[in-house]
Amino acid sequence: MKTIRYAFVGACMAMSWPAVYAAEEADKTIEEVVVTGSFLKRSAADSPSPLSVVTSADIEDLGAPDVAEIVATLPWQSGSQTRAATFQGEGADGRTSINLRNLGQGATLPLVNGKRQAPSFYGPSGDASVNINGLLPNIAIDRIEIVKDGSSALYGSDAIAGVVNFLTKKDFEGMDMNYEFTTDEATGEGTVHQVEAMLGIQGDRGGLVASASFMDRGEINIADRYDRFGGSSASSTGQPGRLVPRGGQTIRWAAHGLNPGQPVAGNRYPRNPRGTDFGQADVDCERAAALEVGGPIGPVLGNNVCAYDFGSFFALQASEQLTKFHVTGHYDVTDSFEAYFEFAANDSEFDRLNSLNPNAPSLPIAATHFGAIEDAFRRGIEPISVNNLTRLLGGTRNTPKADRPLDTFTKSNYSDQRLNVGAVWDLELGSREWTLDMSLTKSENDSAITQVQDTQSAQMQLAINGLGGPSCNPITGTKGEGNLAYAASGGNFGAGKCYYFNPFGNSFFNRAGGRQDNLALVNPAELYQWLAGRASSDGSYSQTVIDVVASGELFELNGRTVGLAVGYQRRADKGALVVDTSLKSNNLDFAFGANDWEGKLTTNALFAEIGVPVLENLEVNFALRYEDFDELGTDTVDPKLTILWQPLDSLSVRASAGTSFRVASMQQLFGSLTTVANQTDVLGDSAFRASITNGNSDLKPESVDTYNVGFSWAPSDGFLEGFSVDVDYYRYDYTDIISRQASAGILLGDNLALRAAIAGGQTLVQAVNAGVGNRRQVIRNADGLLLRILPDFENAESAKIDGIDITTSYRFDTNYGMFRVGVQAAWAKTYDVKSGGVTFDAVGQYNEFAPVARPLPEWKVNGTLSWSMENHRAFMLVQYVDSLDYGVDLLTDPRAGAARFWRETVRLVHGQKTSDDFFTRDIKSMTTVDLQYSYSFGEQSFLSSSEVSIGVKNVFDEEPPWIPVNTAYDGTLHDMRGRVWFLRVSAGM
Amino acid sequence: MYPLVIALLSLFFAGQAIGDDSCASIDDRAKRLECYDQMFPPEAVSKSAPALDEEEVSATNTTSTDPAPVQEPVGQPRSPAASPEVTTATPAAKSAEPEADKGWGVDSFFNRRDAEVIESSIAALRRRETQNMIFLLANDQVWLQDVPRSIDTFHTGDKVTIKSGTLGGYFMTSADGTITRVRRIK
Repeated sequence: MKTIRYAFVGACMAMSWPAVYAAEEADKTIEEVVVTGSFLKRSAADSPSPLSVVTSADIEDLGAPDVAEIVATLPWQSGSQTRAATFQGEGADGRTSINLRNLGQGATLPLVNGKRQAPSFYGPSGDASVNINGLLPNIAIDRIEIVKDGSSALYGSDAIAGVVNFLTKKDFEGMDMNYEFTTDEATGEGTVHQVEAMLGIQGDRGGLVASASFMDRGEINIADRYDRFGGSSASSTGQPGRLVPRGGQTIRWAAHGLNPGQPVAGNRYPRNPRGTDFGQADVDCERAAALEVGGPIGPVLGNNVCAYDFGSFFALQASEQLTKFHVTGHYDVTDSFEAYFEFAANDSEFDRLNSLNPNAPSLPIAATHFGAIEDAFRRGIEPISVNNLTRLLGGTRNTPKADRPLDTFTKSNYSDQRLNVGAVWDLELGSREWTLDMSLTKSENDSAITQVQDTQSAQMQLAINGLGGPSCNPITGTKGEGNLAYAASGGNFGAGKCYYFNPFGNSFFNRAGGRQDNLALVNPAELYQWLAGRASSDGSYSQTVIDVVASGELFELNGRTVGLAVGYQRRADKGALVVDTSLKSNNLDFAFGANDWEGKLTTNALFAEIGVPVLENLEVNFALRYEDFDELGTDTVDPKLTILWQPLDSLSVRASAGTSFRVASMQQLFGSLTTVANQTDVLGDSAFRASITNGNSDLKPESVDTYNVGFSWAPSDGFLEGFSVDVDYYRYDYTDIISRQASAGILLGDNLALRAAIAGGQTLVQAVNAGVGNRRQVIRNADGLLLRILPDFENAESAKIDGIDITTSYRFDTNYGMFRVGVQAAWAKTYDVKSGGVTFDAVGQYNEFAPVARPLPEWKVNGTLSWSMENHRAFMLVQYVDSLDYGVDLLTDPRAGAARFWRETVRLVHGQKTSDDFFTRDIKSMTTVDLQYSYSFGEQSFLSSSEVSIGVKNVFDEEPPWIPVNTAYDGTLHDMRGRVWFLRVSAGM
Repeated sequence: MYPLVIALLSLFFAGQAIGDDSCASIDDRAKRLECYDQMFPPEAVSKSAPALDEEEVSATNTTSTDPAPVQEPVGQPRSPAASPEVTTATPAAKSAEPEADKGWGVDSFFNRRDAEVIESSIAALRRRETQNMIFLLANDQVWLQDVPRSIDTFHTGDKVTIKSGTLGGYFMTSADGTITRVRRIK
C-alpha cells in the first residue's frame, strides 16, 4: 500500500510544481491515512475534530520511562491513575488509565492503530479501563493522536470524552536501542532501568517491525520520605491499639489502684493505677512508639486512640517489572491486496507489602481473657470486658521476623495479549477508488493477585475467646489451656490446644517495659499462622472484534471528492473473576470476601460517514452509528456532524456536534466489587471497612451530547512563519452517568439518623435493632459497630462540562540555533455535577467525596522551550497545575473525620507546623521545571547514530502541595518525587 | 496497478531537477534546469558500488547525464533533461570489499554491507508541528524523516549525506552534524 503514497508524491513532482509546494503536497499525501476521528482519508491539519498529537519526539523530550508519565503531562486530562502507588491507584495498582476532561476512567476510548483493546482493570466505581501503560513499548510508538471530542458515532461505546489512538512505527527499517536510567535524588530509591529495542525490515512488498522493552522500577516507600509523607497513613487501630470498654459496666479501681474498690470517677478508663492518665489507648502505646520509628506513633485524641502508621508497608512508588513486546507486519499479496497483522503482549509484576490489618468486626473480649486481666492490672482496675480495636500485627516493614512472624505481601501479575489480522483491498469502482479493510482483533487480559494476607474472622473470633489453634475443639476445649501449656513447656506450641490470641500490648511488653517473659501472654508464631488468611483471585477479560470498513469516493463536487465510509463491527466481550475458597468463605476481616462471576456482552454495530465539500473550502461530515447489545436488549444510535471551513491555506475553522455513549462495564452489569476505605463511624472512630456492590444488569448506557468549535492558524510566510495556534471550546452534557454510590455518603446518612436516635435517648444497639438509619446498606454487628457498606451501581448523576483548550508554538531560527517555544493550556470553565437533586461545581475542587469528578484544577498549563544547534539539543518543560479547594470544612464536616485524625497523627510525628501544613483545604498550585540536554555523537563504529541525554525533572525540587488525605499528596495531580535525574543512551543501526 | 501509475508518472518527473528556491521559482522549464546545472555541477559516479535493490540502483548507478528513474518502462522516451546533481559516492575501500565478506556473521555485522553514500543538498523541506519532516533533495529524491525530533536544524540549501544504517534504513546527516533517520519515498 506504500505505492499509494508514492504515486501521489510522484504526481506532485511530475507536474513540475515549485519545490516547496511539491513538498507540501507530499506531506499532505503521506499524512492522509493516519488521522484519528474519521474513516475518510484526510490530513491531520484538516481534522474537523479537536486533535492533539504526541509524537515519539515529544516522548523522548519528556524523558518518560512509561506512558503514565506522558499522560501525566497532558493538560487535557486530570484524574488519571498515573502513579504505581498503593494509595493513589484507585485499584489500578500499577496500571494506568487516561481520563480526558475528567469525565471518568472508562470514558475515554484507547485504540492501538485504530483497533480496540480489552479492558485491563476495574476502578473503584466499576468502570473498566485499559492499561495504556502496557499497550506498546515506548520505542514502538510513532505518535499518540488524541481526539478531544465525543466520537461514538465513529468508534462506538466508551468514546464519551474522546479517543486516544496509539499509532506504531510501521515502516521502520534498521535497529534502534535505548537505555534509560532514572533516580530520585532525595531518597536515592525508586530507580528505573529501562531497555528497549526495535528492529525493522522492509522490502518491496512488505515489512516487519518488532520491538520489546523491559522496565524495572524500584520502590519508594513511605518510610523513605517519612518526613513528608509519613504520619498521614495512620490508623486508629494498631498493634498495640485501642480497647473500648463495653457498655453497661462500672469501672472500679483494683486493690492497687487509686481508690481500691471504688468506681472510677465518671466511669473513665484509667491508663495507670495512679489515675493520672485516662483513655482507651493501650497502656503500652508509648512504649511501642518508642521502639521504632514509623509504626506505632503514640496516643492521640485524648489518649483514646493508640495511633499506628501502617505507611511503611506501602509504596509511594511501587516496585514494578514490566515487559512489553510488539510486532507488526504487512505484505502486498498483489498490487491491490495487502495483508497485515499485529501482535502485542505485556507482562508485569507489581509487588506490595501489607500492614495486616484492622480487625474489622471489633470483637468483644471477655474480662477473663488473660491479656484483659493483665491489662486491667496495669490500668489499676478490676478486669472488664472490652471491644477489640487492634490489628493482628503491628510494627514496620523493618520489624524483625521474630516479632512479626508473618510474611505480608501481595503479589500481582498482569498480562495482556492482543492479535490483529486483516487485509486491505484496493478497488476501483468505475473511476472511483475504494478501499475495503477487514480485520479480526482478539485481545485478552489476565490479572492474577495472589496471597493477599488477611485475618480470618471466624478463627480470630475463636482465638479472642481462648479457643484458637489448629488442634482446639471449640466445643470441648478449655479456654486458654494452650497458652498455659505453651508457657509451661517453654514455648512448645504443640503442648497445648486452645489458645487465646492476646491483642493487648502486654503480649509484647512486660510490666517493667521489657520484652514480655510470661509466655502465657505471648502470641505464638504458630497461632499467627493459623489466624492469617491467604486470598487469591484471577480476573480475566477477552474481547473479539470483527471490523469491516469500506471507504472511498462517490463523486466530485466543487472540485473536491465526496467521500463515504460504511462499516460493520461485531464485538464479543467476556469478563470473569475466579476467587479461591478463602475469599468465597466471606471469612476475611479486611476484604470480607468475594464470589466468582462471569458475564458476556455481544455487540453489533453499523455505521456510515460521509464527507461533502459543500463549497470549495467548506466540508461537512456526517457520521451515524447504530449499536445493538444482545444480552441487554437495548441499542443506541449516535450521530456526529462536523464542519471544516478553510478560508485560507493557513486557517481552518471547525465545529462539531454529536452524541456518544458508554455501556456499563462487565463488572457493573454482571460482577461484584469489593473495595476497602477508611470510614468514620457513628462514634467517631475511623477504620478501614469493606464496601461491596453487586452488578446491575438494568443499567442504561451513559450518554453525552458533545459540542466543539475551534480554529487552527499556521501562517506559512511572513514574520509569523513558524507560528501556529489551535483554540477549541468544548461542551459536554453528560447524563445517566453510571456510578457507584459513595459509601461515605451512605454511612454519613446512617450515622446522622443513629446519632439523632441516641440523642433521643436510645442506645446505639437499640437504635440499630429498631431499624433506625439505613439498615439495608450499612451492616453492623451486635454492638452496632460498622462491618460493611453495600453501595449500589446506578444511573444517578448528570454533569455539564465546558472549557477551552489552547495550543500554540513558535519556531524560529537564529545564529545560535533553532528555537521553538510552545504553550499548551486547558481551562476547565464549568463542571456542574447534579447528584441527588443537588448541583455543585467540581472545577477547582479536590472532589474527594464527589461521585463523578476527580481532582479538577481549573488550569493546567505546559510551557515548552526546545533548542537545537548542530549536535546539541535541549528541552525545557514548565508544568503548572492550578490550586484546588478540598471542598469541605475540615473542622466540622463529618466526612473530614479522617483528616482530623491525621492532623493529630501528623502533629505527633512531625510537630505542629507540619500538622498545620497538612490540615488545610487550600491545596496550593504547583509549578515544576524539567530540563534535558542531548548530544549526538553521530556515527560511531558500527553504530549509525548515537546520542546521550541527561535530564533533571523538577529542577527546583518542589514539594507537592499538602492535601489532607493518606500520604498528604495526590498522585493524579502531582509527582511526589523531588528532583529526579535521568540518563538516556540511544543508538541506531 | 500502482507500479503502472508510477511508471507513467515517472515519465513526467524523470528529467525534473530542482535545486533550491531560487531555481524553483523560474517558470521556464529549460531555464530552470539550466539554473540547477550551474548550482550543482556534475560529479563522477563510482561504478563499483555494491549491489542495491532495484530502486537504489537507479540512483546510485546513474551518471550525470543518465538519471534513469525507477521502473521506467521499456520503450518509453526518456526526458531529455539531465539531472546533473544526482551524485553518489561509495568509498573506494568499501567498493573493493570482496563479495565473500557480505555474508551473515560477525564480520559482516561489523562491516557495513551497503555503505553507499548519497551526497546532495536540501532543495526544499516541509516542517510542520507534530509531523515528520519531508526533504526534497537537489538530486530529485524525496526523503521522509522516519523518527522525528521535536526540533532539528535542517535548512534549505544544507549539504546532507545519506548513508545506509548498519542493519538497514538510512541516516541523513547535515554538514553541521545534525542526524536523523530517514526513509526514501521517491
